[in-house]
Amino acid sequence: MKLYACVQVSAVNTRAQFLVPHGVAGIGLAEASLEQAQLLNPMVEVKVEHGSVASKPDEFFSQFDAVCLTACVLEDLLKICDLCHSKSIKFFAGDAFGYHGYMFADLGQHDFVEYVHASFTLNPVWPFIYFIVKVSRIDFPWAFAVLLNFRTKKGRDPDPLMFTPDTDLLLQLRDELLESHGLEKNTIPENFTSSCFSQLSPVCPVVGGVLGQEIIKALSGHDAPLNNFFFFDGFTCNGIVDCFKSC
Amino acid sequence: MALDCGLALAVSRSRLLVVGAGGIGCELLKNLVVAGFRHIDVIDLDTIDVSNLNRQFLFRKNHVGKSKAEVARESVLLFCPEANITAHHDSITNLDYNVEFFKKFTLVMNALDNRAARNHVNRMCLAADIPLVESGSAGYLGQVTVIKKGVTECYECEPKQPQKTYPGCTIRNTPSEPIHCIVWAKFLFNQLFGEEDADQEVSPDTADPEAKWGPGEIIIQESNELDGDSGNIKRVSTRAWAKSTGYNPVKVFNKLFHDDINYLLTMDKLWKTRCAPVPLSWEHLERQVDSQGAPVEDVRDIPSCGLRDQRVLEVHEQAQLFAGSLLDLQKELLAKGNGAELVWDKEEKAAMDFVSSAANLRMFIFSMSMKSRFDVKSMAGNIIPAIATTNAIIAGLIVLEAFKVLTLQLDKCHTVFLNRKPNPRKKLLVPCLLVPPNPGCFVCSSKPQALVRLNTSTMLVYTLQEKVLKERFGMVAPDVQIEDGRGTILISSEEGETEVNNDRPLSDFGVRGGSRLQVDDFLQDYTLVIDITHSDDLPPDVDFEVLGDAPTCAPSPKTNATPTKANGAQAVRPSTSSSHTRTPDPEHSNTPIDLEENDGMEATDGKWQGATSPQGFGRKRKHSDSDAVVLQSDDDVILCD
Ligand SMILES: [Zn+2]
Repeated sequence: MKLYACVQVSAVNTRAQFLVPHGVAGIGLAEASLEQAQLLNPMVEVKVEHGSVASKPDEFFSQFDAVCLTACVLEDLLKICDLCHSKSIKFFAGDAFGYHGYMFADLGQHDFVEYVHASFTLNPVWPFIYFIVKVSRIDFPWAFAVLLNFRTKKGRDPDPLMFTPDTDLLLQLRDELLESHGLEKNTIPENFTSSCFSQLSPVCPVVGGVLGQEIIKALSGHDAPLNNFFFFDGFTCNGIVDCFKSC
Repeated sequence: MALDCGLALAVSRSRLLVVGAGGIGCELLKNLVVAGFRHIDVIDLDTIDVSNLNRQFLFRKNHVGKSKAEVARESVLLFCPEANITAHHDSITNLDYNVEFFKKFTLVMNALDNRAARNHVNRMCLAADIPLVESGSAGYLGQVTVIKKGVTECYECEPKQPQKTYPGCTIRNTPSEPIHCIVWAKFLFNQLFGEEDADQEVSPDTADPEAKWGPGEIIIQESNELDGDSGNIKRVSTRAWAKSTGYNPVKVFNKLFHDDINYLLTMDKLWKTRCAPVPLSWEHLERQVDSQGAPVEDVRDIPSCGLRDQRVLEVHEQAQLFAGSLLDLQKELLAKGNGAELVWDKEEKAAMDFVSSAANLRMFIFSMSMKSRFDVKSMAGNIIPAIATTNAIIAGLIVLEAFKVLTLQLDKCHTVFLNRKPNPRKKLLVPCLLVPPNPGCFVCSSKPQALVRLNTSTMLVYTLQEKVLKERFGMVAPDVQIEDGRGTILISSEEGETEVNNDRPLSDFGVRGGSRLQVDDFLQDYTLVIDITHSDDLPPDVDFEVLGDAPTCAPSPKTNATPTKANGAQAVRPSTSSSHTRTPDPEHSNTPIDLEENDGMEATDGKWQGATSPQGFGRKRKHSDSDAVVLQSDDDVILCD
């Protein structure tokens, strides 16, 4: 309880459908989810913030111990990640596309206690932008980079109702990305598009569960955080933690 | 929500049975309706307790005391009215849920907290030939797997270590093993000095479903509705009460060990098949010490290393230690200032003295043999609280595995382990290949057979029925016939037919070493042949051994038939295992095969070895005497190791 009390959650662009009661339409998702979210734990102060997250002044973020972004465009992710890093605010991001999901954490300088014995410090990592431009070890993040670029371009995620045009655009973005980084075609296999349309509901609790746990760990200072990416493939049920840092 | 057409069709047509509406069950129901499932039956015997509210998000404060299954259904319908959900407030082992019932479903999903029910659902799904998605969680750890008759291992293919999962009311009402008392004592520490947590309630739990079969139920229910706080008899918190007495050791002692125990005794249903606890009052102990003229040395003055730690104290010494450490802790708390809390640490002398003495006093009350401070310390060392996010992850994985079952891609299904930390191959979630059935399994093989060693001249028929057949072999209503050429019926599931045999030893009926028993459970559609070997020298507290099992048997509540035995056998032993990875076991060909070699679980800190997975999937039978213990307070699991 105490843990949450120190964070004011501003639910921006959540997609927690089950928090939205039946028959509610025409208001923002955050507002629609507020009542149910509040009922989950009456001891937590939950507030809705209006307006887009990108339009908020820097000072807006200073009031938080942690900021978590989901379903945001890449530009906003990068901007707010940098901002939080410079202000020593714990930053988290997560998304789910079809069978795929990821979680990212930038804790900056982070002390934590493991069990009751030793205390460790995580090396500061300075990472998000490198996620997009400097990483080439596994194809997983590259596919996410394509999807985030898609979101930037279209202002939405791939939609099963627009399967053909969206698939074409995804492949085009993939080729552009691979070309601009001089990467092999097979870095992102062509069939990646088939498993990334819309959110697959059971992928969300897996990514959300990991994200939630990492936020609790970061704010409580208990236990080693996952450093610094978590990638999930909902078909193979592989969940990988990998660290990408500036080099 | 984007499912491809085949999957979407399979999802919309499926009828699912969800067994359990606790921590995983709530998350699972939400996931299922959001994923598009529309025909769901949910069954749970429990009612909602205050301590459920912080993790089981379908329940609110005004639901306390109501059926979990029914409230879960209502809550889900609020955001998905088009779902067709049937709630059963009932035990899955009830005779109504027979093979025909199970056959109505496309798929069964377990979200259970105890092995007995898991065993039973496993058998029902085998009998009905319906696929089962099994799951479990403990702290940061979790596991999901798929069970399909003839294709994969069943839940019981590998012998499990003795039962390590207990419902929350075991801690509060009916402890049968020392570890239950130790967990209770740690909860008590937090209630009095640490962070107060509704999950760690120590007072009698009147919502115990087992206590509610009788007429007394109504009275208790009504009184709960009056104060709106079902399950907890006192609205004032344990700490507030203790404070109001100024942490008076005698008053605190008498409340915990006398008044609360007397209250438990009023729930008389609990003590029909168990030995009832004996209340202990401070005054009584004092009189006893006076009359014996025993020298009163302050046990706390003996150095805590070495001898004192390994000696089992007398009950009056425990009381003295309790009172002394209570005062020490109160001083510590006062010194920290207003609103401060103490954090339990086994290395802190007063804290450890307190837990050791409180646990031992409770053991004494429940007729268990008490433990040394050293033993209590090793058992109390690492209790990790339950974690809600683990349940969310596990419930998501259950649905992802279900998708593959429903689209007939069983070959793509996995056993998925959720680790505490990424393994050396960077995996936090580790998918492993499903394992084919164990041909020697005493449940799913074509002719199930087991070899049991017991003392035929001391084991009573009732003990055979309760401990061997029901507890160990997971039957619900066994019938036993002796293969002696005459077909002597030893036990009949029909009421009144063989109860006269209960208090007689097996040897009275001609059972001896080499005898063969045929055991049938008609509900489970299950027949087991048991070969008996006679033994005069079983270890103390051990009633029987199953060949291939660990050398200890499952400790069990005391029964009327064995009134003189200690309440629980030794449950926790020091680990003899050093292997932390699930390397292939040459002796057992059915050890699970990881997708990538040596990908096993928890190689990083070895907190969760093969044999100690939360739902008791014994992955390596060699480690069955590992020291890990999983306790469960409802769905909320506590992992101790
Ligand atoms: Zn089996």
